Amino acid sequence: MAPILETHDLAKRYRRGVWALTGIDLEIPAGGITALVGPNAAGKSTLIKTWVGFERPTRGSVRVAGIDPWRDRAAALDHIGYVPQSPALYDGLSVEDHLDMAVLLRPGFDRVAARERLDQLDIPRSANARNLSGGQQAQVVLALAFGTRADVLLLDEPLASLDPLARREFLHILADAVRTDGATAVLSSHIVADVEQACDRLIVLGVGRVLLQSSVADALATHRVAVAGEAAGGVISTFAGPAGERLALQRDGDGRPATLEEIVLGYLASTRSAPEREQAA
Amino acid sequence: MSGVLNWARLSFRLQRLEILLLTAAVLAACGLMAWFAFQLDGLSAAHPDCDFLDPAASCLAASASFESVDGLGELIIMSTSLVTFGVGLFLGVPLVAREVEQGTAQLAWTIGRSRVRWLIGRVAFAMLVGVVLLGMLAVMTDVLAATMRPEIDTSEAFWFYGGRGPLLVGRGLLALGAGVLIGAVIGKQLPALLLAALTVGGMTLASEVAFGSWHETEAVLASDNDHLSEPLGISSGIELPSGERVGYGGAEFQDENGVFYSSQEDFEARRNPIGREYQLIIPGERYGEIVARETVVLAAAGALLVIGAAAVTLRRRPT
Repeated sequence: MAPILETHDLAKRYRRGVWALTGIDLEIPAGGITALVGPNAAGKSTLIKTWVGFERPTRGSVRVAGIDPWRDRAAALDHIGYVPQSPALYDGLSVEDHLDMAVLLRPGFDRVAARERLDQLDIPRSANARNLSGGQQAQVVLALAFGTRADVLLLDEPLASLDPLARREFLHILADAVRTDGATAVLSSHIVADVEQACDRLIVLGVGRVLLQSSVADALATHRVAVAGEAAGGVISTFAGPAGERLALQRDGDGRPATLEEIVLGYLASTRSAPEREQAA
Repeated sequence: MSGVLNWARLSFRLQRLEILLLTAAVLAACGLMAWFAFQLDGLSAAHPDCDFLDPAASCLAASASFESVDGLGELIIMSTSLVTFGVGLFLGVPLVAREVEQGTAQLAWTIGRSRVRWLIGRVAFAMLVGVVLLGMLAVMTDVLAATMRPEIDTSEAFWFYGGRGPLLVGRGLLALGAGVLIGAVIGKQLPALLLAALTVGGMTLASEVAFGSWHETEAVLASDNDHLSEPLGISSGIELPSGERVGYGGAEFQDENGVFYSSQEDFEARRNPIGREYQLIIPGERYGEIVARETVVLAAAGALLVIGAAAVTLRRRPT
């Protein structure tokens, strides 16, 4: 089956000369939730924005359902529901007004479904958007994205401004909706714990390149952790454990099974330069 | 139809503050103009035999009152130009700039398939509001101008040309187009507003120069009665016997027939005339045609700027 989201040799350089992405090759199959994990400035937002058609690739290609979003943005947007990093709603409009606007802007917008989601969350549709909490605003933006009936949902760190309870609710609703509608979601975050339970696939992005691309199950099955110095073979990198001890992430090594957080930490640690590694050690 | 009304309702809510403030300003300006027009009309009606431009002794007091109200009326008409630009800029600049500045463009530009369609919808509503407000100013400035000069038909006279009537609508639409474009380029409201104000000032001056050049190509020699209909003066000077037209330099003495002499002696003896004064004008009866033409040109320039804004909006980042 053809992937619904692709990038081939994707590179993006901003005007100030900084490379946000270099040589990204990704193929995300249809269905399920993919976590796009990486530290700040890893290029997560830039990657999502190239799929949305907000950023033009400096090199390489990007496809959404086989469509280049920069060349045919309108056709690509038919497949995309987008939740930006800082969900900004219109101050002067009520929640219901936002739904009205979505109906006018997007033929086929599913107002009924969007209303149902908002009602389930007890978000008053008559309330002015400015009077909603950050979590409620994020949920409204998510409901708008769901209402588009798009087969791809791109969520750019939507959890960043939410408290832990709101995060859990958000992820629960996302997972439920994706499974019900058969959509594909890409959820970026720099906090692994946020996405661990909800995601089927994992992409670790660091310094503008892909460090790991795998299903969550495969990643957990194929990575081990051992105390640094005692690990035999397949060491990807070493990183600090919760008590300050040095741990080594191994692929198919002899250590204990790694947690998802340890896998991510290990891959991110592998991007540090040699002096940085020595300093950390 | 309900879609159009719904879009209008949402567009109004998105620009509610600007629209209410601008409406208040326009209503205040129109109210003032109506009051002054009423005062001037009352003075004219109360003194039907007085010529306020050349008052007889019995009319001096009434003429003084008329002049004082008339002077304030002129000030009001002149300051209306600022309101005209304000209507265009305050309606135009926020359309894209605010969306980008506040991050809502990310929402609108991904829920909607076409940014151009979105922009056209927003601009159409702003233009509708602008045309209504500017139209009110256009009508009221014409009404006030007519009462300030009851002795002429101001619909066929260049009295207060550029400061009244449909040209205000044209200027406002030009300002609106410039505001949308600069807002789209800069993406921040305050800097865009300041730059748009400067740009619109420059464009207005440039348009006046361009229209002035256009008028020169259409000017005709004034006849003796043309001054009665308030023509648009283009240029004047002295026509030499050879037919060459020159300025007034050195010609200090003019007789009752408009003939110039270089010295007191020549003037008194009516000898060695330099030439006869000429005036190039556009007759007052062409006022309506000229104003309509320039209004269309300014509005078309505003539309071109909106097309430029659409091109920018298509390519720009939403944040």
